[in-house]
Amino acid sequence: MSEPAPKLVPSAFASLMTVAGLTWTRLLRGRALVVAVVIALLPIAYCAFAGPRVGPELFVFELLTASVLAPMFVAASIGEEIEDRTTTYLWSRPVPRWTIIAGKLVALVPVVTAVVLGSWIVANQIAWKMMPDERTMAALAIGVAALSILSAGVASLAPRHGMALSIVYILFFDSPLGVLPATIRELSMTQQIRAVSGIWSGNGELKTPLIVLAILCAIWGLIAAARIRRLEA
Amino acid sequence: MKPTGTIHDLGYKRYGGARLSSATRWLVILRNQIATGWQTWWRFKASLGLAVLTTFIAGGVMFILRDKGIRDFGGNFAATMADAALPKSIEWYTRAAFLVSLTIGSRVVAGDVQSGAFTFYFARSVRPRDYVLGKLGGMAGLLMLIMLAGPLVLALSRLGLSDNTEQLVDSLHLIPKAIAIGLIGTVVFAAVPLAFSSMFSNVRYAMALWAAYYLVFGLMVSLLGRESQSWIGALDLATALEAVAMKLFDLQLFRGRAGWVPWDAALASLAIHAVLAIAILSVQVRRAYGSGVGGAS
Amino acid sequence: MTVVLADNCSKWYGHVLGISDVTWTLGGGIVGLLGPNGAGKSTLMKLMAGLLRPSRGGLTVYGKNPFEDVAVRRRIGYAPEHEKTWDELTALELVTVMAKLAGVPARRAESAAKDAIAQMGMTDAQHRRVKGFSKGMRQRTKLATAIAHDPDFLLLDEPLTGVDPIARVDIVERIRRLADGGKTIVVSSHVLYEIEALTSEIVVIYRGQVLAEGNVYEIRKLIDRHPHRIRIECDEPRKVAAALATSDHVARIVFERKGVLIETRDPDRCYDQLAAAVIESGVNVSALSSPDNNLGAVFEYLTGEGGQRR
Repeated sequence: MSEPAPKLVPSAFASLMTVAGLTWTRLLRGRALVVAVVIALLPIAYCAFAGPRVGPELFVFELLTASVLAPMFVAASIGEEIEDRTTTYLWSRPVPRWTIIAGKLVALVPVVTAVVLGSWIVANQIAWKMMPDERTMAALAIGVAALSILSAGVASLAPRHGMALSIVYILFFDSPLGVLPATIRELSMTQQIRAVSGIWSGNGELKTPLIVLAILCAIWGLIAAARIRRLEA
Repeated sequence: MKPTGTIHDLGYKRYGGARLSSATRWLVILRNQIATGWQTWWRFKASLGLAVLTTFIAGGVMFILRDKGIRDFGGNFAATMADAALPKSIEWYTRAAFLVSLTIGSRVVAGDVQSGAFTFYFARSVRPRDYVLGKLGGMAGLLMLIMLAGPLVLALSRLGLSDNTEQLVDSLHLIPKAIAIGLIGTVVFAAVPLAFSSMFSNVRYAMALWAAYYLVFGLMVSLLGRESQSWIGALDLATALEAVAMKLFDLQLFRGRAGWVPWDAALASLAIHAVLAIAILSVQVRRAYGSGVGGAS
Repeated sequence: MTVVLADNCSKWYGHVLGISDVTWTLGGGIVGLLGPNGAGKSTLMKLMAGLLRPSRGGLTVYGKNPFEDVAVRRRIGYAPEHEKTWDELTALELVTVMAKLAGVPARRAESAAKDAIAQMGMTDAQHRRVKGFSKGMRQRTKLATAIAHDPDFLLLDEPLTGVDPIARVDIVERIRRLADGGKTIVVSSHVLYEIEALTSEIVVIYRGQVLAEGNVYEIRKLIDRHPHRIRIECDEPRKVAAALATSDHVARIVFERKGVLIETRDPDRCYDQLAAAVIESGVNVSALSSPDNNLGAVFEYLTGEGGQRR
């Protein structure tokens, strides 16, 4: 029997985009977007209720919303694949496993960002009748990406409870860490996101929080990639 | 006409022994809920670990501040601080209970619907009220280990640290108070997440909405309550529980966000939350049962 | 050419044994992986598909470790045993995505998916969402995902589970056609006649170990000390029995309503003597069969679940 001609293996980029497309299609046909919009309405409702009393805490509410939405989309998406064993389809294909996580992030981060930014813009309009400044918008967009990567890392460590643990980690560990009166708070993602926004944290400088965020994202990204590589179906 | 089929007697006989009364079916569901909750580290044991840690730390603080040398140095302040350890620890037990509500509570009914276990339950002679009672009881059983056992241990520790019998007798009121706050917390954290869970057939939506309600909405109303110094902060479950604990234990210091909330409003909010949650849960389960999800049709 | 080489391969899930010390070589063709529930069939399948890593020993597919080597998985088509897929997708979307992920260029993926769906007889339902599919349709869709990228080696884990009898015949025929097309196929099942309908080459796996492998009839021959039963349906069973009763290889004779059942330790001698006896006595034989030449008997014997294992 002669050796058959070698068959093409898809490029990492092609695999990543295919996974992103798959994630998108599923997202649009599910109810996750509706649920996300309902959650994103909370800060808007707060503005409508609190009226002129609204202060910088609005940004924290928006960050909290992102802290629930990022795990709901990213961690749950990864966890569901593993729990439902649909990973057997993905992992039996000739694709590097990190592309599956990256593909999900490519598909989901823009969705969560759009929902959170939409909520932020509307809330600002209601509270102060003005567009939010670019820096807060950038901080939320970067924050969503960072929290999504963190969720992917947590989900790869504990797939069954990835969503719950991501929320708990962000809100009960990362956030309190960020308000500690010590240097260790610099390890907090939420603290760095607030520093990027220029609200309540940081000294207005942008470079350091961005670098720290990039490092934290790289660490969580590497954890996710390394862990997913070793996971068995 | 000669029969074409034959049934052979292979010795099988229909079970004719004693059967459990149908009124006890909920107990089977309750036991199963506790057993599955106990499996794996992340579902319950991690939260229990947090509760145990809270008990150790609060107990340690209590022990140190009740030390005669410290009291000689700190005077009444040290004693007050020691007495504050119990009510202040409620905040941490609440966190542990919220963790359980995320990993188990908000998943229970939605998970059963998603996995088809509803059919499994209702294909048997299980009634919706058995299911509701069993799930509520199971969750309460788990949560009691966090919300009730922790404060009770701390109350007993406080009794053990009394200087004399007279003081011990004077402190006995801590026991029913610890039980009361523990039971209130247990009922609220068992019922409300289950209600959220019953409203969705997808686990992640139920979890996300419960988390958003508890964390985002909770913080918002808590802040609004503080700003307006009104009862509205009582809508935040954590704040309401703390407010009731402070009233029960007559805590004057370190009142934090709960200090702005009237205790009666807090208690009413907790009661309304629990009653509404049980009503939603019952209606949703009955509806699912009636619509055939449970194999009733 | 060696397709699969398992070398003292073991897999544990914590304290639970998946497979133990399996040494096995697969050269090609269509092979039935047979064993009761929990025997280790799916574990072996997943090891071959690159979804699991051996705990000890090694397993290669086309000389490569399928867990580590991405490229070799291009040559594998795997249909898992579970039904769960992405139910929100249509069959065509699902198979197209799987084809793309397997390396079929994007511009050809949809046509490759359509071909695969057609091969599985699902063209009419290709635009319907998987959510509404019956078990049989899901099985066909799964098979289509496994073949869409034209793999050399197909792993079909319980492909006939839950399929109705008519669809079963159809799927078996389609799997056979794939084998005729030169693909190496491993099909697992715990239902004996499903495998029997597909192939006579089997691997019997039991409690994580390979119990037997090869042609089902050859395996049967190897069990030479196990009495072999021959059922003769005839009008005068006593005459047949009398002719064989004194032979030392005959272990037992049982009279049945329509004939006689003979248990022999030497089937070849028995068949020779039987032919001679029938001719001599002029008995009218209407049927001659051996209940032990089917897979069920072999399986029962090997696993000790139907007889005493020797």
